[in-house]
Amino acid sequence: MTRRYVSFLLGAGRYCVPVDEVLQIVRPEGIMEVPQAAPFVTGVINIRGDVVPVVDLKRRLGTDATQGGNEPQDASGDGQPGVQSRGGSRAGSRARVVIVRSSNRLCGLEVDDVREIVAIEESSEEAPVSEAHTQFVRGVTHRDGNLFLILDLQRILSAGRDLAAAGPS
Amino acid sequence: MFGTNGPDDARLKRAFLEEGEELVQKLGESLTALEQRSDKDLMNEIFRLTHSLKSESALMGYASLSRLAHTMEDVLGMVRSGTLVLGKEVLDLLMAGADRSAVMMSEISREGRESEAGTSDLVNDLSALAGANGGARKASVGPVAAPASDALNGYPMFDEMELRRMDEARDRGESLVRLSVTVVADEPMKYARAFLVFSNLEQVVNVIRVVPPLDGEPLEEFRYGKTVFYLTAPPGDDVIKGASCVDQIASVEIERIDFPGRPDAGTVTWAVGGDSLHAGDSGIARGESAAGNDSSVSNRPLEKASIRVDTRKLDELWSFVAELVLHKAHISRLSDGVARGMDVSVIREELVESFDSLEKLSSGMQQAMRDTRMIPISIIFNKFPRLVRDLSRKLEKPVELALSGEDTEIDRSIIESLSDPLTHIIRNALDHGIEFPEERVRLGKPEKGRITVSAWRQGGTIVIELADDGRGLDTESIRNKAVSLGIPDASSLSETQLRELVFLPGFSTREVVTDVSGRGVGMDVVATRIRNDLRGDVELASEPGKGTRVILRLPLTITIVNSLLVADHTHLYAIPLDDLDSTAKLTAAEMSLEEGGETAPWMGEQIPVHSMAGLLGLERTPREEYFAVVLHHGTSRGFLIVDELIEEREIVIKPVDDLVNPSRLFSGVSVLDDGRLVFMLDTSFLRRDYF
Amino acid sequence: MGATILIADDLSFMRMIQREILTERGYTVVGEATDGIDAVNKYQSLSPDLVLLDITMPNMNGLEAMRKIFAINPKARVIMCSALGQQSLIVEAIRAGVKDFIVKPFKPERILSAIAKAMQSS
Repeated sequence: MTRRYVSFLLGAGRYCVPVDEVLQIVRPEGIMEVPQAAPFVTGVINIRGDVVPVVDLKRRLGTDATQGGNEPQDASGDGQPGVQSRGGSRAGSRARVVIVRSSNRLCGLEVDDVREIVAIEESSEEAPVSEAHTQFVRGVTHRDGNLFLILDLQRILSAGRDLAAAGPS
Repeated sequence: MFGTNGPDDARLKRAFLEEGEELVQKLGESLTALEQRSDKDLMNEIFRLTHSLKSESALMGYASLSRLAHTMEDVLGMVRSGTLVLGKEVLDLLMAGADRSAVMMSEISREGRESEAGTSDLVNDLSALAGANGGARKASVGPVAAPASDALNGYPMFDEMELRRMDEARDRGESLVRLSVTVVADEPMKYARAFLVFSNLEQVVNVIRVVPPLDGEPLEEFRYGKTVFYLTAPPGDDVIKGASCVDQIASVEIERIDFPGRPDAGTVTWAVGGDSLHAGDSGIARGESAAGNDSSVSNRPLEKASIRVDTRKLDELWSFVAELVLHKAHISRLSDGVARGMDVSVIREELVESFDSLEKLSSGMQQAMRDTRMIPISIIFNKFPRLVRDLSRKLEKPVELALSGEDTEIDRSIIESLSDPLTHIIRNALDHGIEFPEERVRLGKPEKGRITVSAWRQGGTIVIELADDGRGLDTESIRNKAVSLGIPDASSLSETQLRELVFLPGFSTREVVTDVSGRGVGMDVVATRIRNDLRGDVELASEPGKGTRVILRLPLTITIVNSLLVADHTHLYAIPLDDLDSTAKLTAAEMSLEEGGETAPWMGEQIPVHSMAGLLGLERTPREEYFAVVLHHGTSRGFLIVDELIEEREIVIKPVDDLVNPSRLFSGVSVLDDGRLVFMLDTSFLRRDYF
Repeated sequence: MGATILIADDLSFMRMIQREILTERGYTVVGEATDGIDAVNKYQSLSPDLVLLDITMPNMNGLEAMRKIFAINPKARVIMCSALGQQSLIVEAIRAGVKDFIVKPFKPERILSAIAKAMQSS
């Protein structure tokens, strides 16, 4: 069975989430600071009346978020594989916040660049290899020579109730 | 209220007549239309017209007309609530009333006053109608089964209009069809989907009744998973199929059924049995008595085709509407005054006064409207005494149950989803929590176990607490189970974390799954239901050997909460006035450091001093004098130091995601008109020192 | 197949997804509109077999646009797209004659089967 995913860049990695979990894609503007949030939460944003948390996806996934892709070209600056690009690299005009919904919760994911929609055959999914990612990555797949990491939104959104407590960072 | 003479009055009178004549005309037309078709919108319109007629003529001092309209309104009210069936004579009487109103209206127009003649008989007849069933109206206060749904043959109780339409259809050679339409499970808008089918059907066949109904306020989504249409149609299923096989429909079932038996016109008797209302021997549904017994009707208290609202709430709403009418007239006078060059300062004063009242009115109405959606939690609590009694007998553990806060009101839509989880928690308490009497006595506890269930409202949240005085959670055995399940770091988890584990699937530490609470619904399902479906939270507190408490917190869906706006460290917070005792100023000198933390005196006792900064893990800016509020939560009280006290405001709060609120410090969030964020404080932190 | 379809949604991302899904199935996307007024104009000039309308659009919302489209052609095939929480708008749209509706975020199969069903009838 083929499923469609929205793919985006984070550092030099290529990630994707199922199309039917994506609600909207907005610019990272109007993100309001909040007094006390999980460390990987940048703030909240007002989406049509709902107050939606915005997650610093790079931080949530951990410092090795640059693993994976082999295409260094993106707005995050330093652009060599394996080089961490954190903080400040969001200044590029292609950065977006992807608003997703998972089990009735809304959340915004900060990404560096939204790319194309890919159709992925379920059978081509493999288990994630890198240890650092296993928590949040449901599976990986190869396409046109690129490695796509399929995110597990439920894990990404879980906070506080985790046993493995605060996750990476 | 209004001057008896003068130019104002003539203008007012003219306005009254204009509107009044239009009113009575529309009333007559609508009643005639009602004879042809039974339509809830029409019914509501007629009710509204009659009510307006009543209030406006009362305002103008036309007592007879007002009285006539009043009795009509009473009768209409009872038809609307299902207490009275709209049979032929009722309709005839109402129409006579409308005619008479029209006549009186034109008399007023000609003579300037009303004439009494011929009205009192009518009024008496109408009152008799209302009075004969007046007693029944009182009984509809409280949880009642709607008459529209009956177990007999699965037929709803059709009203006179519907039966008439079916007669006509039968004459045309059509038959009665029961069409059951099941919507695909993952369709998020089941109501709209059912409505789409309805809309299609209406174009090709005669839809008589829909269960659950599609007019009026939509019920909870899941109720429309399967919608049943009663319709009449000529033979042949194709047309019906075509209309109902809309996308996202999982299955369609077409049954041709017999027309229901007919009661004699006007002899439907409504008997009142305790809290429930049901039709007496009326021969509905093929001559079988629909009387049944109280328990069969009240066993399905939540299956409603319409919602029941405490008549007191409706009365309150109507009195708001009546006040609105007064204000409308007042303002119309003022605007006339402006045109005539009345003293501007007088106008300004009166306008300000009017707007003030309107503001109060509008909040009052909002609250009243919301209240109609709220029902007391006793509707669920009432099941518990029996549950506890049965279980306690079965398990041979004597247990007593104490309930409090039964009249705490919660939104209708939450009720259904709460019932199962609460029941399960109580079963758990009885099964695992409370010890057998011999053991209890040995431990020095009273032989009878005790379970308390309490509910209360806290700002924008409903809190429900279920406590038992049993064993408490055995955290060590939870830890062992965690280790055996291979949960990482199980040995170093804190007590709180261990208690959280209970909400994971597979976590019953009782090896033997007992009949009582083992099957199906586990604590994990409870947690899912409360956390995901109801967007609330559940938490466990326990003292080994002493007992366990399960605390549920549920957000009220859309809530407007009267709050005090405060600021601290560049952020805005709202404190529900319900939780606020007072504002205060605290000097550093007054505060003393004790073991648990800082305290300061308030009304003769030393209460804890918290600060917004402290709650957020920040440093409190040291000052000589601090602004503070005195808060309470249950019986706990405390100071909360903030940077700035701003103003009282009505805040519309929305739920806030856990990611933003990991320590549950806030019960909701709001966005002000200027875009600023306000977090509503949850004062339960005052209690966190316990357990 | 090959029915002609007009897509109206103010979010370019949404239009992109819909276009992809439709084109792959063999439908011809004859135009994209970014607001209600654009949608009505394009309906007028392109006369597509079917319109996918988003309910919330600037300048003129989907409901209004739909009414205008029905004024142009009472037999127009309109499918309304909506986000959760707009059920009352959807009900209004149904009253006004919309053929079907889709709730966002939607699965591709949904949109395809809704179009297929709409194309079948009249």
